[in-house]
Amino acid sequence: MNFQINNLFPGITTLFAVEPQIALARIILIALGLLLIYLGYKKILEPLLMIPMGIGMIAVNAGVLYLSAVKMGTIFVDPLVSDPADVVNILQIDFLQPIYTLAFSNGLIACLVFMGIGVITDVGFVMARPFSSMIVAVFAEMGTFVTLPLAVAFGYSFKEAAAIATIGGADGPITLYASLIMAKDLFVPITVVAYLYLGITYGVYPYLIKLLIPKELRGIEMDIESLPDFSPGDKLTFAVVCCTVLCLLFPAAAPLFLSFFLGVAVKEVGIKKYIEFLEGTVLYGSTFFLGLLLGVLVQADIILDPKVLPLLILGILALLFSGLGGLIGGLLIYKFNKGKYNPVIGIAGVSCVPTTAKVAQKCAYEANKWAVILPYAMGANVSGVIVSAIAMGVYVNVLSKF
Amino acid sequence: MPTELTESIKFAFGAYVFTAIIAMAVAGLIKIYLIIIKKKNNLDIDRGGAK
Repeated sequence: MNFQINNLFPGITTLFAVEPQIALARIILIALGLLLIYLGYKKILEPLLMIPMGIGMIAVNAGVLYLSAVKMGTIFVDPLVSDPADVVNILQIDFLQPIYTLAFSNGLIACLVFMGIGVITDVGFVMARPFSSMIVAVFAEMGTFVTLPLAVAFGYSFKEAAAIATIGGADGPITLYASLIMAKDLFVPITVVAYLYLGITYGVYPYLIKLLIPKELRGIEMDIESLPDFSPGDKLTFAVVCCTVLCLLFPAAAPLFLSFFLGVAVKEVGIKKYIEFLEGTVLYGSTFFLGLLLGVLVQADIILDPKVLPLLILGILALLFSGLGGLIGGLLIYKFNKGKYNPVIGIAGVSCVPTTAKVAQKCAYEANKWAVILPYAMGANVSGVIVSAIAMGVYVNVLSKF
Repeated sequence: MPTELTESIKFAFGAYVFTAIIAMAVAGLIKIYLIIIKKKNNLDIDRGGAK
């Protein structure tokens, strides 16, 4: 029997059989996976995503083996396979390939997350103050548009730049969907960066708010009593009309609009079994597999692509510009309303539901414990989701022709 | 400034303005809908059939 000790621990021996930079990248990514788990455990980053993502990253970078005499790889997932015969072959080997092929590479998982978000969203907050909510949401979309020329300046094509720029919307499913349509080769790093940076909205935005908005403005109390109450029928009609109009205008983003407003419709009709299914199994199930898949897609050879490094800078810039834009929008409405508007609500226009709304409420509460701005912030937040999807639709509609 | 960069700035600006117009149109749609709801509710009250 031809026994080789190398075959006993391929995870270790493959480290020495590749170029040093790949080996080093594998070790760094294992360490990064550990860091994500730690940050998730400490609740500094979202544990729902960080725990499966971190463990996935560690396992995929540790579990490299010889697939043939010369080829190295893993038996998790192969995102680069495209030939139908190869796909069928890989489906029988890589254990996460069925989920990737059938739910990830076509954007289904993004739609499932949107159905879950829809069912936990109350569109009544947008309906209560439609113009102010939409205005701050438009301002808070600034990063999506400022980042596009920056990305072009970094050497990305228009389509790739547009996909990267959607990170500014702080909406993971939209970035995933946009990068699948416009920059399929870069969709793994773009989506991973987007989800990693969503933590910025929780960790960095409070400092941005405190830096730009004086304490007396942060503590402005909002009139909660005067907010109108809408019947489920009113909200359902709004959801159906809005869905129809937006699908007519932006067919490329129609699956996302359908998913979101379907969730809203199910909630407003009050179909209990569907509500439980969507807000429990669908939302958490898809978030779990999204995190796990993103983790196992962070493989050393994919991340070492020279096109990936600038993404780290562009992602941060996109989110900072969006936060900045949201606060500028908030300050403008404050001026326009003669001081009867808390400008902190502007940050909630960044559509990271419901994180940015919670950040806005927390900052207002710290300045004045009687300041309740959450209903207004949720209105801006839901508008942010709609505006992010519109922005993506505009990009896809125009750029898909090129 | 390279042509591609200038083009991208123009494109991004145009896309931003267009997005803002659509968002405001959606807000306008909601406002019209709210006016219709309000009128309908007032009509119900006038007829003695308040909700």
